[in-house]
Amino acid sequence: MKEFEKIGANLKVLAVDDEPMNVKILQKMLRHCGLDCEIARDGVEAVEMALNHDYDVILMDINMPRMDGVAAAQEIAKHLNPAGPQVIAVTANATSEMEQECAQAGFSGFIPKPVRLDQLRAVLAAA
Amino acid sequence: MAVKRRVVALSTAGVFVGLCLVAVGIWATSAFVDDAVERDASRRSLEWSNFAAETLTGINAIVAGAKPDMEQQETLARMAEFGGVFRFKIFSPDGKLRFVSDDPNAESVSLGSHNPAAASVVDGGQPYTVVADGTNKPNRPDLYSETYLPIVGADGKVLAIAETYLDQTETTKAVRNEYLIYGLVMMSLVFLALLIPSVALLLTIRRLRERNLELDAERVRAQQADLAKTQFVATVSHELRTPMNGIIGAIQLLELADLDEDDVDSLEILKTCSESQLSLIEELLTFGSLEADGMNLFEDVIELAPAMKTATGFATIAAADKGISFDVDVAENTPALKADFKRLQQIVVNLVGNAIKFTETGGVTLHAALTSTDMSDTGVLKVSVMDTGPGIPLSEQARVFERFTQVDESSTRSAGGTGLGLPIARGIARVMGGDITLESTPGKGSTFVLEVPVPIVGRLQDTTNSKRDAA
Repeated sequence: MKEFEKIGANLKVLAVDDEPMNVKILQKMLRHCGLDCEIARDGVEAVEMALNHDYDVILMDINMPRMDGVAAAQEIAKHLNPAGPQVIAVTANATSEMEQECAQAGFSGFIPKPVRLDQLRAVLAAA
Repeated sequence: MAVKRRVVALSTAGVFVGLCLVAVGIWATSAFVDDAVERDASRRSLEWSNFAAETLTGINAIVAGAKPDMEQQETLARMAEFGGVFRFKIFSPDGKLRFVSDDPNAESVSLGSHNPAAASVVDGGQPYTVVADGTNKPNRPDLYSETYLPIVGADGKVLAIAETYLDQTETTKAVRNEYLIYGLVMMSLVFLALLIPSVALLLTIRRLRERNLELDAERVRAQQADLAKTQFVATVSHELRTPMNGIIGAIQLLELADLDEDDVDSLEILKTCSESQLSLIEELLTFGSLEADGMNLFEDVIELAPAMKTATGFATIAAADKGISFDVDVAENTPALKADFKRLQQIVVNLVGNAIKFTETGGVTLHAALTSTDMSDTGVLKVSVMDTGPGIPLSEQARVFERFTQVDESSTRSAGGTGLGLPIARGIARVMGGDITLESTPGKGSTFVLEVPVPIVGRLQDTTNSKRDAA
């Protein structure tokens, strides 16, 4: 296996996505970055896990059943800010409008799908 | 609404004017009726007095105070039936009462009493008429006239003064009817003159209001349709990108795996195809949002030189792969400007990508500059992309901006692409308020020029990168 530059810090990551294929890809990519992650399948689960665990980074899909990513991020921020986790949007809704909405909702990063390993690594390195 | 107030004011004024007209009409009619009755009374009295002068012989004796003799009484009786006169009196020229037709024996009147009104007509020489109401008097018509007038002899001498009583009920009724019809006609004309424009105005207003409502409904429908299209584009975008995430993600993971040369080759094919698939999807979606009027522009603060470098980052490798040159030339000391960087990049990538695609020898040069007048806070961003490709014949130049076309249909094969690139680029430029134009000489090359009006921000200290505005 070729060597991919790992991230120095040992970040505690939560990956949130309702699509199992996406979660699997994200999980594998994170492993290449030297990180493990826990998984939530929708916004409600994400909020519950975020409140009970001390995550450094949450990679949040936007379009999800029960509670979408924006609402989940706002809920998490309401309870945990200012010392809460960094929430990064990972979405197939790759429009400028969505990016702006996420910025306003308190997301600290925006990764459009398809996820580029380089971009993911750069965002996590900056977190 | 101001129009409605005006109509109300106009109608009020119309009603007021109408009422005034009615009042004036009633007053004028009564004046006209009196006048007409007086004229009628004078005419008939004069006829009567002529008859009296001719037939009543020995009038002087009566005037002097003598009792009428038998012959005179017969004549007087005939006079009491002539010309509609129902009663008359005879006075002496100096105004003394000498005879009353319905009381020949003077039992109820005092003969010899002086009547100044009667005396006055001798001096004036004109008949004097009074219109009187007889409804409360017995033996009198409802409306009658009393006319004093001289009875003049053949020699022109005033023989006596007569007071004739004429029934004017019918005359008055006739005149009143005449004026009533006349008045009604006038009123109707005035009413119509006011009504027709008012009704026309009201109808016009109603039609305008209906049209406005229709237009509102149409606008709402159009907005809903646009919204539906925009939502459709957003949904399709999301649904197409989601599997691409798996495909491209897996390819990236496989690139990190240990593969033999053959598999690396296959992976490379997979990568190229999926990337081109992704850019096709993006092209179609941009086109979709342009068609749906769903394109929102952002205002990023842009430093021209680094922005052009970022936007054309792909081109250096692409040009090198084809063995042609690629140069970027940005005017020095260009102030920062505001534009949607992603959209600008989309246009530049398209123009430069096209230029490289169709150029086999020579190269592609991008010139970028901001032109502005003096201290103006807006300028025109001009980006021209010049190539040394085959060029486009004049007859084909308009077609390159049409959807799904390429100049040489067979070049679709060799050059690839959806034929949506230039229409999209021009569409975005136009949403930005600008345009893309083309100059080309076949055999020498083509120059595509993007010109868009942009706000000028002024020089930024940090020129390393373009920043997305937080707003």
